Order: sequence, then structure tokens, then C-alpha cells
Amino acid sequence: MRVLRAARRFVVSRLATSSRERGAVRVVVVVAAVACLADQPPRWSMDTKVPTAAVVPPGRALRVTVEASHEPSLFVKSGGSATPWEDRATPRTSWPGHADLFVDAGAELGGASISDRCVSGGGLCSGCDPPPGSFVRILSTTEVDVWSVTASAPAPAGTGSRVEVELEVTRDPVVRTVPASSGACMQTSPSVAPSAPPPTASTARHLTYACWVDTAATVHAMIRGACPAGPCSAPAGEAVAITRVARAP
Amino acid sequence: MKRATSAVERGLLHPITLAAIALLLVNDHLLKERFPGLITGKLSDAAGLTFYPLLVAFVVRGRTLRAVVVAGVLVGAAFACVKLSHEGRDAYASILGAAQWLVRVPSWWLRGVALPSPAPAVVMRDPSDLVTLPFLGLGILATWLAGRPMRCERADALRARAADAH
Repeated sequence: MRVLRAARRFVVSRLATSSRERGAVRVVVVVAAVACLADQPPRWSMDTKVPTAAVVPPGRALRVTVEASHEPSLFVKSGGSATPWEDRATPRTSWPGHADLFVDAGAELGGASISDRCVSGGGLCSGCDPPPGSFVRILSTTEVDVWSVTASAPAPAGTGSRVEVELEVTRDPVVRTVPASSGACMQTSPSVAPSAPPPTASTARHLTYACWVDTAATVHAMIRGACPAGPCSAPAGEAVAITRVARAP
Repeated sequence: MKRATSAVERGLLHPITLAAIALLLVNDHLLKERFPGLITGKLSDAAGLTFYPLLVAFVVRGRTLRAVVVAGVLVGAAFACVKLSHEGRDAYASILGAAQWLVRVPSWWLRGVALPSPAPAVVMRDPSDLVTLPFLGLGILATWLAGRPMRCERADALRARAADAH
């Protein structure tokens, strides 16, 4: 408390007159407002839109082949739950330049975008331009059939309670609660591979998610992939298992 | 020594407030990138909640400690709404995104850049962020501490006047 008082006395002693003090207040207010608005580091972005968007029909997915200088993200016009995914067992560590991304049924693809933090010239007011050589292109969009495997488990109910969900999966899952109004689930721990004992495949990973539930809810975890041609069932070895659902301490 | 005229202005110049503003800028632009995690995730909320009530009170021309307390209650309610409900989060993300877009428009215009459409800011809905709500009290404390020496001086003056009377 004494240190604070001394610091304040120092600040005030530097502001000998009322007008200086008022000027300082204005400066502080401007800086505070800028701090509020600039709460994310400035980024550049570049996007491309699909010429004709169509809603992905039930039971199918849209394969979007994208070529880009930076890892792209797809944005959907509607169907908010449709987070783009990749048909691969292990998460990618770097962007290879082009990839097939998938959008779930019910979503309407809007386009693809790339974005990164400004290296120079950026600021709240100025923003920055994409670096030279940046590009993003949607090469093709194709409707494909998908397979999926789902696991479910009841979650302990409680108003605004946080629930920890542990999973054994062979690929990145979609974890959600039903009813959905209970809240979103977020991954809280990175993958630890291989798990012991794995559910069905040697590449199974142990993941932890946190969900927020208000009422009695069920946790659903789903993995999916694209069928090579026509409808198909899940390939052997692909599995998802909910190993633990417990209220967080 | 002459003073700023209101408790809100004095509170804005208090080291607690100045430190909170500096912490928000440093954390958002440096620490979050270098040390992503639970601490840096909560630090910005804590720093913001410390000075938001003072900022709100100043903007609506509040002058007293009571104005800061009322602003603190309103900020706390809005913060809880943003962190607990999808609608609150989406509304705040849209407002923040629009404000950021408005601030950037002159720069884009001057540089001849085609105006991008306003996009919502990235705002996480995380009920666990509510643990930072007590930091609202820090801004109120700063306002109270900033006004305290003045009250002491006033008491001294009254005491001196009483002594003179005797």
C-alpha cells in the first residue's frame, strides 16, 4: 500500500497543474480505449469465395480442395456447427500447400481465407497488407459420402458445471453435448499417443475435453472420414470411446 | 497543488489503473503469443475488468466513486453475459468487430485499399473467465485510494480550523 501511495505521489507530482492532470487523463482514456479495441494483435487476411454455394445434403460432405500459401480456413454461410475437418488419422504439423478439407452436411460453404499476424506496418489503425506471394484458391468442390462412428455417455447435470470428458480416438473427434444449448466442448489436453491399452487401433490417442452443461445432457463424440466411392462403413481399426465423464473439481 | 476535479479522473491516473492498462497491452500483444495458457488467458480479462469501470464512468461523465461502482456493476453484468451466453458473446463480437473496422476505415481509405466488410472479432465464450470478476473491485479500490489523500487533507484542514477556534 505504501509503495502504491508513493507511486501515485510520484505520478501526481509530475502533473503539477490541473490542466496537465486533465491532459494526462485524456491520454490515459485514449490509451485505455485503444487497449480495449486492439485486444487482438493486428492481422492481415485474404479470402476467396465459392462462385455457387450449395447446402451440403444430409449424409454427405463437401470435399473442398484448397491451394494456399498459408494454412487456410473455410467459412460457412450457414450451418454454424459445420467446422471443416480433414480426412486423416493424425493431425497435420505443417501446411503442405494444398489439401482436401471437408464440410459437414447442412452447411453452406462461403469460401476460404488465409490470415496471419502482421509482421510490420500493422497496428490498430493501419492494419497491414498480406505479404508478397500470399494466395488462396479453391480448386474444386465435390460432394462425397462419409462414414462415421459415434460414442455417447451421460454427463452429470448441474447449473453451469464444467464436465471433463476423456476419450480414446483414432482421429480428431467432434465432441458436443445434447441438448446443444448446454454449451460447447473444448479440447483441454493435447494428444498423447499411443494410449495404453488402445481401443482398437495402435494409433489411438487419449484426448481430454471440457464441456459446460446446465441441464441433464449427453456427451457425444464422433469421428468421420470420406468414403473413396459411394456409401461405405467405417474402416477397420477406426474407433472412438468415451472412457470417463466427470464433473470437474 | 491543484488536482483533477473528479474521483473518476484521479482513479484513471492511479498506478493500479495505469498498470492494468499496460498489462492488457503487453499481455495481448506479447505474452499471449509467447506463453499461451491459462494464466495469460485470464490476465487480459483481469486487467480489463480493473479499468473498464473507470473508462465507462469517464465516458458517461460520471465523477464520483459511486459512478465507478455503478459502472463496475454494469460492466460485471455485461462481462458475465458475454462469457455465459452465445447471444451475448455474438453481440459483443459484432460490436467490437464493427468498432475495430470503423477505426481502420480511414487508413484503408488513405491507402486506396478496397474496404473489407466488417467481421466479428474473435471472442471466446468461457464461463471459467468469470473467476476474474473480483478484479472489478480493483478499479473501485484505485478510485477510492486516489481520493483518500484528498480526504486526509480535508480532515487536516478541519482539524487546523478547530485548533484555531480554540
